[in-house]
Amino acid sequence: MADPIIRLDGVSFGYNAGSPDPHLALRDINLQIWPGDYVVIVGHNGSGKSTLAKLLNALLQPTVGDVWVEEMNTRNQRQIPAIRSTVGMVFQVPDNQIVATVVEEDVAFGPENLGVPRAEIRLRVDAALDAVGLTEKRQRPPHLLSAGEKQRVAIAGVIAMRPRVMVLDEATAYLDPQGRSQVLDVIRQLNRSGMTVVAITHFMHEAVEGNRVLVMEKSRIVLEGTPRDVFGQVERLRELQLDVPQPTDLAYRLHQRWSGFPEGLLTVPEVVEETVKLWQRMRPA
Amino acid sequence: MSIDVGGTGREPLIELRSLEHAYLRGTPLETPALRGITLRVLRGEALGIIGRSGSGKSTTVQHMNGLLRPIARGQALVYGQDMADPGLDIRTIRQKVGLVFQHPEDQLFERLVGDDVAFGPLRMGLTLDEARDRVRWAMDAVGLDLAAFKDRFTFSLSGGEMRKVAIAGVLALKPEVLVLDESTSGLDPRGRRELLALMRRWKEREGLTIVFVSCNMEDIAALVDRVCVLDQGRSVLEGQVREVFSRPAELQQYGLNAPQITEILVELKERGLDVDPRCSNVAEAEEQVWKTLST
Repeated sequence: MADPIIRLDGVSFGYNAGSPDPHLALRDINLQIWPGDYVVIVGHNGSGKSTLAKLLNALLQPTVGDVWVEEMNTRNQRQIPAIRSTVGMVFQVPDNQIVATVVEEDVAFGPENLGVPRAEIRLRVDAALDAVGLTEKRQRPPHLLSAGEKQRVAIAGVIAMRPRVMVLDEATAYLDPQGRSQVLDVIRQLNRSGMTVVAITHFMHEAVEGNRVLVMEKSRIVLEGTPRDVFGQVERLRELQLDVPQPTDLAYRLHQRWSGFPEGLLTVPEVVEETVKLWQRMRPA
Repeated sequence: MSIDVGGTGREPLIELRSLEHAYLRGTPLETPALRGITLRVLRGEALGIIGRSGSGKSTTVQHMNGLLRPIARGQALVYGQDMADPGLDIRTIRQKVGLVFQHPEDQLFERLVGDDVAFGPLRMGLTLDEARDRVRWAMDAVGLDLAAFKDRFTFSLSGGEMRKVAIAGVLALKPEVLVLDESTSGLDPRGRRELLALMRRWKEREGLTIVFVSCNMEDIAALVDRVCVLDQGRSVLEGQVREVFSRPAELQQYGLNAPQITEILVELKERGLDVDPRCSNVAEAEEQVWKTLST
């Protein structure tokens, strides 16, 4: 296997470190993110998710331990520009990261600041707008776009910087169902074309999208695995007061009643197919 | 479109009739937001308002307590009063209809939690003692212990706690109708569940009428009795929440999805299984699937 693109070695992070009452937001985190991963992080507010995200592109430096991005240590101030062009961030509220008054100028802002030549910027902006499906709206003022469109502008701005990793901190939290699925489609496409993705969300059905799920609770990673492994542990998730995707919950309840019903199902089509199969088998011929 | 009042005999407290509204009116940037909204809010019910972003949900609810007044065509009647009437007593209306905005935690401004909740009651001209009672009641209604929270610094609270304090500030005015615009979005699963349970309790115990705007169909299914769907500034569908959600194809056309359990049941029914897709939670869906598999 290739080297991890991001590595956290024994990382702890404390806000107001050194004070008599330090609040440890992260405790002893060891984590490797591999090229091409789609890692989804879930957990309650205050569990440390956003702190973890901010450590990945040197917005924060660990109090203890080290974060390595492609073998660059995030403590090394001189490498911060290189780290930030490797790891791009998309936040919850797109308005906070949109700076220009015209969509395409906003998308060009990042590459301009990286000193990308003019002709190349044009190419990158066009490609980024195409990737998020906003080519038609390139001349529009961002504040007149819908929330989902604005979030896609923010994502395009990150794509145009050509990072290898994209970190999304609850990027779908304030979007409507269609906006959410548009943003998810874009992320899925980016991941298929090789982008490494780290996404934080409260929506469990979005967690099913990734190849790895991390569950955080009280500053630690408490569950980790494929979506099927993690969401298979319904009781444990209930203990943590987290939601379980509805199809998984339904399959689990039916399995409790009758062990012949398979558990560990994640999606609507899976539950439908399994139910129909059982129903056909049980029907008198 | 059907007005499904269902002969409940409940009196409509708010009635919007073919309401229209445009932002930046009279400028080259004029943007129509409402093109014809007709809906009623009945006493004691929880009404859900859903629709994709930009469909007019927030503009609609801002007509419910006179933050926006009908200036184009259509009518807004609140407690029987025509909201276009310039001589209207707007203070009374705003005491009866409380509005909680999106991100209500942004509205907090006092240094201490207790002072923030007391701001509204004091502005209403209540005495200090009366205001204190109101604050106690409102903090209790949102599940925050008065003694523990009243002297906390507002901005040291968690996001979920700040949101509860902001809602307490509106409840302290003792409204009869509480309008909540996306009040569960952005909260974590625990915070969302708590707030939904509180809203259910206000409705059942205090008889509060609730108007709930949300993009989360699972939350809508868990709370409301009736739902009104908006699309491009028009009210396009209205009915019992179970009925509306059992028509996923129609919802999709308006940029919405039914909850996943409803999608499962609708699909099963189409495949020939005898199930009723009108379920509002996973337990009900479980019964439906179990019933058809075990017979």
